[in-house]
Amino acid sequence: MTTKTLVTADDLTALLGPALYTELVDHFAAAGDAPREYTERQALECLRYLYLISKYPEELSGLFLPVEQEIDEFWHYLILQTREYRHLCEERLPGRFFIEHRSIPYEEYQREPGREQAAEEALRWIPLYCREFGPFDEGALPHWTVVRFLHEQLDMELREISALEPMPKTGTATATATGTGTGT
Amino acid sequence: MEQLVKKMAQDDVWQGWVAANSAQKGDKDGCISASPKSGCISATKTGCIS
Repeated sequence: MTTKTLVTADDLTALLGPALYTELVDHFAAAGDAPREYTERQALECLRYLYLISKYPEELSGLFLPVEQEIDEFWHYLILQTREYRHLCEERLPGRFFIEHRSIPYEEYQREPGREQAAEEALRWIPLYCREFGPFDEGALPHWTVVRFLHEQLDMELREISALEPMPKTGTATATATGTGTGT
Repeated sequence: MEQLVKKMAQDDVWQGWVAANSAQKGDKDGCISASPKSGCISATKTGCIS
C-alpha cells in the first residue's frame, strides 16, 4: 500500500521563496489589524489555491474563485511582482504554466453554467484540496467560501466535508482561472 | 456529492450560496476604492522595477 505525501505549508513557502513569502505577509500584515498568524494563513491558502489550479488545470481552470476576496488580494499582489509570479507559475508550481487571472462577479459567472454545474464546480475543490493538503481544519474556514458555507449554512462537520468524494469527470475545462473584481 | 449538488441547487440554499459569493463582490467594490491608498501608492513609494 502506498501513502500519498501531503504538501506542507513549508513546501509551499519554499515554492514562493522565503523572501517573497515574507514580503507578502509583511505587506498584508501592515495593511490590516489581523494577527500575523491569520495573515500567514491567508498567504498559505492563496498558495494552496494556486497549487491546486496548477496541478489540476483540467478540473479547476476557469472555475470561480473558491476562496474569499481577501485571498484574491494576495494573488493580485503576487501577480504584480511579474517576474517572480511568472517564475512561480512556470518553474515552481507543479503544472509549470502561467496562471491567468480574470475578474467576474459571481452573479454573472453562475448564469452560464446553471445552478447544478456551478454548485458542482464550487464543491470540486474540496476533495482535491484534501488529497493534497489533508482535511480542512477550523483555520481554513474563514478563507474557503464553499467550506464555510457547507459548515455554517448546511451544518456539515469538517470531517464530513473533507470526506466528500469527487463527482465523475464531465470533461469541462477552460483556460483561465477566475477571480472577482479588477484589483490588479 | 451528487446529493449535495442537488441540495445546493434548491432555491433557498442557492440564494444563500449566491449571497455568500456576492458578499465577496461587495467587499471587492470596497477594495477598488481603497486600492489607490493601500496598493498603488505604497507600490509607488516602494518603487517598481522591470
